[in-house]
Amino acid sequence: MNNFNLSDHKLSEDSVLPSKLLSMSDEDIAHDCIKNKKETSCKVLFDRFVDKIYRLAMRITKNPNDAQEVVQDSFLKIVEKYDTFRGESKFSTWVYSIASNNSFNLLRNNKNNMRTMSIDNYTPNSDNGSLSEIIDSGDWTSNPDLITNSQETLEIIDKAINELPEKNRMIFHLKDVEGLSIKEISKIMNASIPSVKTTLHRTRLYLRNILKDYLDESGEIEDEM
Amino acid sequence: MKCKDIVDNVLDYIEGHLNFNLVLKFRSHIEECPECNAFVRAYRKVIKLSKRVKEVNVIPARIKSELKATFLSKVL
Repeated sequence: MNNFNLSDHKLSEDSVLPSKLLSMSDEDIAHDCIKNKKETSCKVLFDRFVDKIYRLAMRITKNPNDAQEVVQDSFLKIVEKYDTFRGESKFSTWVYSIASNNSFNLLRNNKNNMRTMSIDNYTPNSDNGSLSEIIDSGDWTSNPDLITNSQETLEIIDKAINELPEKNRMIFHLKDVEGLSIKEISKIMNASIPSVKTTLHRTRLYLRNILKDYLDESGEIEDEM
Repeated sequence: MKCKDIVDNVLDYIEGHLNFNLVLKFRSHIEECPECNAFVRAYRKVIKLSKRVKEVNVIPARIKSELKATFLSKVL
């Protein structure tokens, strides 16, 4: 059963869509668009996935023009390859796979790839197993800069992620930005679940340190954001 | 449970993948260890902030409209 949240799906600007259409599953909307050629369903299909595909493509290619090309190619491929979708995974997982493949294909052709840094050997613990090297920051979670400069904080995270290899970027993006499950991510990336978890964990620890360096340490523990 | 175990298990703890006994041990440790408590809070904060990173990369409305028109013209 698909977990469908109406609030996640934005309405298109050019039509008032019946609630029945909005409550249809991704699979049913795709079928209604591609097989029944229903324009309203095609608009809903586009609206549901355009932002997700764009964000993933931006994360992989780091280039808006390339990301736009990925969006266009991905939607065409969804139509072209629709008959190959067997329903063994969620429709959204399949769409992410298409977008991911298109993005990587474009990236390989991109002559302006930025260099990335590996955190594969990132080990936060000191040799004796203590956390001193990763806990020495104290608690920065209630730092007021997190609130007043929240957009800047997000941009810091975005920039830090973009400096990592594609695998780290993609796993972080799919899990922590887009909210996919680790199981779905392992299918999209054709990677084992333990591998996805390890990469995700290292990436999060890396980001934690980036934010630690960016923010001043503060005292009281609160959850503002 | 030791501090190193907190680092190693924090992902599974937050994802709800630890068994009941390990959850109890995890919670017991972070209640007693201020450093690990701060670490787990910071780890959670990173996850919470990351959810909002989607606000950074937004496709321009004009581009979105153009891509939509192209898609509709090809599929219909």
